[in-house]
Amino acid sequence: MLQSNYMHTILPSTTHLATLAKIQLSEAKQQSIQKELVAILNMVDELNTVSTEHISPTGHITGLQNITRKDQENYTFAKEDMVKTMPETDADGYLQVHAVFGDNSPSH
Amino acid sequence: MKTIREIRQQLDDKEISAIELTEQFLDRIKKTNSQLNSFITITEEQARKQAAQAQKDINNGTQGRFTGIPYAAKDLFCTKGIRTTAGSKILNEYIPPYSATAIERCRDAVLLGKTNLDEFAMGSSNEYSVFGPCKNPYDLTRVSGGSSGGSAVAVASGQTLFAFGTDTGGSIRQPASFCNVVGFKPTYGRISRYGVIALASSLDTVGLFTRNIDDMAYVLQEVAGSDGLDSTALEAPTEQYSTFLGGDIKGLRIGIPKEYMEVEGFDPRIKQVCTDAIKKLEQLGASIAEISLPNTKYSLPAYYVLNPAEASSNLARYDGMQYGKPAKDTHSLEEVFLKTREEGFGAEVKRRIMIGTFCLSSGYYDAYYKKAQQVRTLVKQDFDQAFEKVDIIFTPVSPFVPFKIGERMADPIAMYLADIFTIPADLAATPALSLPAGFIDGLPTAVQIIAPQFQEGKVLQVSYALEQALALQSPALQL
Repeated sequence: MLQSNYMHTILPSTTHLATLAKIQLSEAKQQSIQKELVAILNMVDELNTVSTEHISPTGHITGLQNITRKDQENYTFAKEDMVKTMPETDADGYLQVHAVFGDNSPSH
Repeated sequence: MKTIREIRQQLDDKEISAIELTEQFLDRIKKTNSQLNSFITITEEQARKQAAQAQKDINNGTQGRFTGIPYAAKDLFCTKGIRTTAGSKILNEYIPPYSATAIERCRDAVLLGKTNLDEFAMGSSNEYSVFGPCKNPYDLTRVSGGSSGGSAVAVASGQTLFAFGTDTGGSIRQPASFCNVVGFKPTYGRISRYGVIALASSLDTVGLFTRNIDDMAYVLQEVAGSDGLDSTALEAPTEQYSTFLGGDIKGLRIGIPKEYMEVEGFDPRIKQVCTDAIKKLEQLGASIAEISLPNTKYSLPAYYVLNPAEASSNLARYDGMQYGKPAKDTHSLEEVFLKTREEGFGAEVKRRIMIGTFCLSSGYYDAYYKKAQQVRTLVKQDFDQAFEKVDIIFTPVSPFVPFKIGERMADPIAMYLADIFTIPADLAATPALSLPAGFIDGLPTAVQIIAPQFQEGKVLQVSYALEQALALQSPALQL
């Protein structure tokens, strides 16, 4: 069955989307982005005029299948080089973060 | 304009040293970069070291095909010890501990620097770069195109001999057409993606900018091929690309998709450039036929589901923990994520992450992401069916000439339309090349040559024949 022009009506609140996407947005930004998202989703909405019954989705495009390699260690990075790429480290070279378990810890 | 092969000969004959050659290009970059803004980072010191090493190798007679040849890479390719920003504030200070495979394959060449791009390769004008827009060398008030704008401009303005770019929806071919250079997106996976910062993994394709087709065949030969570090890199044997140049194209069947010519807003002057190029191909003995790619109009909407969805997943790693400087004055992990991403990402990146998050969210996945993947299948089938009748598909690259800086910034959809002719070849993962084909009021425009998957050689063969037949005279740059 073909459907059309329903998508923009079901766009969840930008507040909820921003939470899922883990991006903080100011009130003003939320309002401007809401308009843009609706415009984009209305454009994308055209897909619903295409019948895709019995059409397989394309995930990979060049026909490669089951590409494997030998189960061998292939890690050549020096520890100090990798530590340097970390945003914040403590004196022992461990990644420094806020406490994981606490009042404001992520809920997953 | 010398080809890379000729410059190779000069280096080997010691008519010029690798050091002199590198200095010439560094000079040119220094003189022009403040106007063009094509380079984010100029790797002057490393370039000099590499050039000195190259000259040693040449003196010892141990040089390879790339030894001493200057090049540049879009700042999306990881370069060991050299800042790699993706045009984003969030990676402003990121120094990778390794190099992309593409960069490794140019080990003997001389890296001049990292070029400007739309943030995380999201854009068609280079205006979404946190380092400011890259300017079109033919008119500094106009955009370079994007997202690989810096690489296109660097080749066009003589700052480098060749440059790497990436093409997800047109990010090589569109800026190539705006800047009068050859831009080639080979088959998906032809060049390894290892070490290239990911945008949309099912579409991201590494490709090249060169000044002519001869150079393209030369460079592609060196960088194409399978890679143990990228399981999507193609195992298929790579061809000797240079052997395709110069062969005649008599009897070759070339299809013109009628849907492309009917696109709303398509500049009739560019259509005329296409018509003239088609006539040349006919004179060369190719047979021209109208074909149909009926799902063309769904390519753009399908792309703007697939791309944001995959981008939203790929960009989850920029969280102030794995990558990106964490935001200050935070009190919890969650706050670090939220603030780091608010401060570190620009407007277009936020838009795409939000759209992608929505399209992948529980209850909407089938209606959006899966639907778009099904439409992708239809687009691919269009190409498969067309290639039963023709050997090559010929289309325009951009529906309009380079636009003014700022003209499309406020309207994301107007920006997305810039890629209407380039997206289908990404969805079908076919090799597609942008060939300079004419000037309209002094601004460059191009045509696109597309072959079935894996047939890079055929693209180069037809492009070379057309390039020679057109013998395009470019206006001199005022730089």
